[in-house]
Amino acid sequence: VNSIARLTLRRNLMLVWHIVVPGLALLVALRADRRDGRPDYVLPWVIFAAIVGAAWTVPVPGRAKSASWTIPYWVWPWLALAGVLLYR
Amino acid sequence: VTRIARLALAVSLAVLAVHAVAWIAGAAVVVRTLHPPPIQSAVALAASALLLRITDVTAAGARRLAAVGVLVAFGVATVALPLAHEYAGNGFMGDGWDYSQDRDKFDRNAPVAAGHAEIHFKSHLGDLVLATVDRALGRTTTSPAAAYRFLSHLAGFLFIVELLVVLWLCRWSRRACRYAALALACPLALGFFAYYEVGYTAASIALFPLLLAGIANRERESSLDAAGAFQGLHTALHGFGLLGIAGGAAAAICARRRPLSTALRFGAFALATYLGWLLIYVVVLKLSIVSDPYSSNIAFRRLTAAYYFDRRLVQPFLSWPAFREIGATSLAIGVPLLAAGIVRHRGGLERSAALLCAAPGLLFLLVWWASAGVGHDMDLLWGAFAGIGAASWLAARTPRAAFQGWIVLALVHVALWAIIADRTMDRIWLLGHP
Repeated sequence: VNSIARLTLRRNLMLVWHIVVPGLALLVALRADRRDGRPDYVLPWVIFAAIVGAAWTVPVPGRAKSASWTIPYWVWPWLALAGVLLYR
Repeated sequence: VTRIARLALAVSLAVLAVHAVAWIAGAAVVVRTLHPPPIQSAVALAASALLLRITDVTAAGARRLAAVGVLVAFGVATVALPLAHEYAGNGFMGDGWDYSQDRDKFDRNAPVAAGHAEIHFKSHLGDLVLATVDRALGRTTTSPAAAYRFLSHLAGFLFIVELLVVLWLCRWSRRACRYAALALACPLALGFFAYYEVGYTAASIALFPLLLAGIANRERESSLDAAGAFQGLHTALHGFGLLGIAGGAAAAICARRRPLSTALRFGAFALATYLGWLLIYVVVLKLSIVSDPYSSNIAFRRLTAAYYFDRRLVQPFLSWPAFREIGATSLAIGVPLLAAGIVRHRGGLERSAALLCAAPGLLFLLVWWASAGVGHDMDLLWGAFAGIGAASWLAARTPRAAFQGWIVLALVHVALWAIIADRTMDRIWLLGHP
């Protein structure tokens, strides 16, 4: 039971770190820009990262899995956030 | 011939090194004006990534289906998602957008559209396509814009056909599929999303793989001929393709047997499909070929002295502004992909041929002064860099190299849009100067 609880906790923490933290930061940036009347650049970064990220993470049926190069899904929310922060 | 090839290689390496140094200045522009790339870049990169991944994990039959499917989907996307004519408040489509909105300017650029029996030599086939579509649509206020969109999609169709020819000749090999995937991510491919200009049509994506097959194996002379024919066709669409012809002829010097005759044969096929159209214009269509003012209005940088050209200041080659423009140009058209391929690749013939194929364009980009500015002449800059196919071919040699190449191209897209958004490199017209 302890090992299952630990695994669940670990997965939740990973989810927070990979998705929730950059997602909240992006929402804060979006809200701040709308309040200040600045042109919207958060959504374009998110769309760019989401489309490119989907191409690298969507399951591809095949046999020789060892030759497949993929980028972990959590890179993309952070990439969108990095773009937003660099732009600011 | 071997000595000449070695000398040419040394010069080409020096030119590439100058580009690499200029990236430092160009990177300063990119960092300052970083902007989110538009959806067209995301779609091109995503199609490329998907094909790269499918190529690595599928057998031959599925790979063939997947390659055709992704190329067709990319073609549909270029029609469904046209580029906006402004990016970050900056109109970046050069004169093409102006011509498409102004009937008088359009007619002056393509006199045959207005019924005059003359055609400009600079981009004779490109202009003829524009004029034909404009006339077919009844010369309305919107037909010039439709003509530019049609030309863009026609070039996109040719791009896909050329990739299919390469895939077919290479028997749908994994490397050829990776090449097609990387080609989709090249900045040149953005031109097919309804870019209102002609210059980007000068580059042929089939040039290098076909040329390489021809010079590596004398029994595949037809590949060499096809490479020349494709590059000549693109040169007919826009004259900047001459840099591709020069690059192809230079690369043919690397041929294992009879290099000089190989180069001449390539040149003959290229010139045939470049200039053969003139016979049709004069004899069949009764048109005169004229040299328009734009083709003689090309300015080159001097080494140390600035001068005024058409009321704009041309900075000397040895100056920070010039290096900034060269570096920004180089980053935006994908020269880093070539440099990565040259540094990491160990194959003698491929590497030498790739470097020589790109060299005329790289040298031209050092000395040519883009009259409308880097951000506004992007179509010409893409067209001048005939080595983009060579760079993609080097990067496609292994799955790992292709993955790294894709990362480089993704960064090139980010740099490209930052440079387009930048206003500090815009040209300023000065009153009171000749």
